[in-house]
Amino acid sequence: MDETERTICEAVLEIAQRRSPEIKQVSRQHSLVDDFGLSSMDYAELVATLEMLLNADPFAESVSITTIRTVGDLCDAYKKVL
Amino acid sequence: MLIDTVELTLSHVDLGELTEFAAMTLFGNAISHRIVLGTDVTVPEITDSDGNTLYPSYFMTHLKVPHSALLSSYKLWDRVAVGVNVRVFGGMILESSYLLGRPDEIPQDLDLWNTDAFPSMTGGTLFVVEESRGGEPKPSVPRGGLIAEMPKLAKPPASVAEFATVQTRGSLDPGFKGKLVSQAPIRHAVATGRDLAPGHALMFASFGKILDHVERTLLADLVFPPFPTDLINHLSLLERQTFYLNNCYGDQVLLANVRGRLTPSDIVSRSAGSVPAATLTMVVELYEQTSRKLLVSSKASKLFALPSSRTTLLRDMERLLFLHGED
Repeated sequence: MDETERTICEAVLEIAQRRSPEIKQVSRQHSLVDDFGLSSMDYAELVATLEMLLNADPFAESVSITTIRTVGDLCDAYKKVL
Repeated sequence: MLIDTVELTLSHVDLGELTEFAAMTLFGNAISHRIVLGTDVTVPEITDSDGNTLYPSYFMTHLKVPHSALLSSYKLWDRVAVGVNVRVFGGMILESSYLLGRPDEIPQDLDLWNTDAFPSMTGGTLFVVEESRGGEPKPSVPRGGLIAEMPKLAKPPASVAEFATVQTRGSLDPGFKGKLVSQAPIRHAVATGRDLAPGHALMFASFGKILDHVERTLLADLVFPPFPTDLINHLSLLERQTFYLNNCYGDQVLLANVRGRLTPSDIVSRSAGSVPAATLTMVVELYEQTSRKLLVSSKASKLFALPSSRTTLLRDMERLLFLHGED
């Protein structure tokens, strides 16, 4: 896991634990909705947080946010623009 | 920051005065103008990277009206100014603040905005894809360059966490209790043409009209002894916070869970012709009947501002405070 993936996993974990404190680990295979129950607002907050942490927003230019299903999809989206 | 100057025309206030609905739509117009300020695009031209049309959807509004500047003090053909300031958190979340006054009353300097003297609102907004009926709202990011540059927030607006709390608790004030209650949910059938435009979801400001209708039904028809309608007509909004969790469509039926508290007013009026006789606080949750989805949670405070010349109304108010008021 590289630095970008680690940052993304930590950000996902922080938001996921607000709803489900029992979640202890985030991996590329996890589904953002099915495994962590992220809502529309959670998605928006996650993307905003990652924009600050990674200084990039892939969804403003090239990547469709509607294609993001898993943590891995999210990692790949940021790697495209970093 | 942007200041819109608007004449209150028949389309805003009918033949009357500024209402909550009209004020909210002025604020909605102002944020729409602000987010494309200085760009070559119009609001319907804001799209995401897939070409989906996006629109700014309120998830929270908090309107405050000082008793010294009630909305009814702004009348047909008056000119008003609406100041709006918008900050962004990431590409999708907007935090906005608004101030409404006469054209020379809204300072260009945000630090000088006096929310104790003029009607004001804060709002939380999310860019979402225009949804088909019943679909989940899909947040998305406007393509680069399609919206104006706006100041950035370093952390999420407080309304984001509050929204999540309302989602999980089912009310923005779950512990609220009052003597004014309905034994069963109050029904409101959403009518296309009256409540919303054909083919569209309900506009955020229209929920205020439905909440007012529910409140009126409770006071006039469901509590006994009832509130005279002439008395209800003198209710003035002081504050309403609303969280919008889901939307509704034409021909759906809403079920309202309502409770209210009536208390003597502690407001000292400087107006010779008006008596601040009592305060009504109402908490309402609206559900959609078929899906059982929670759509809206709202808490409002209103003032019975009665003309001092109407002694019968003043006696009515005293009687109702005795019968329904909190101990």
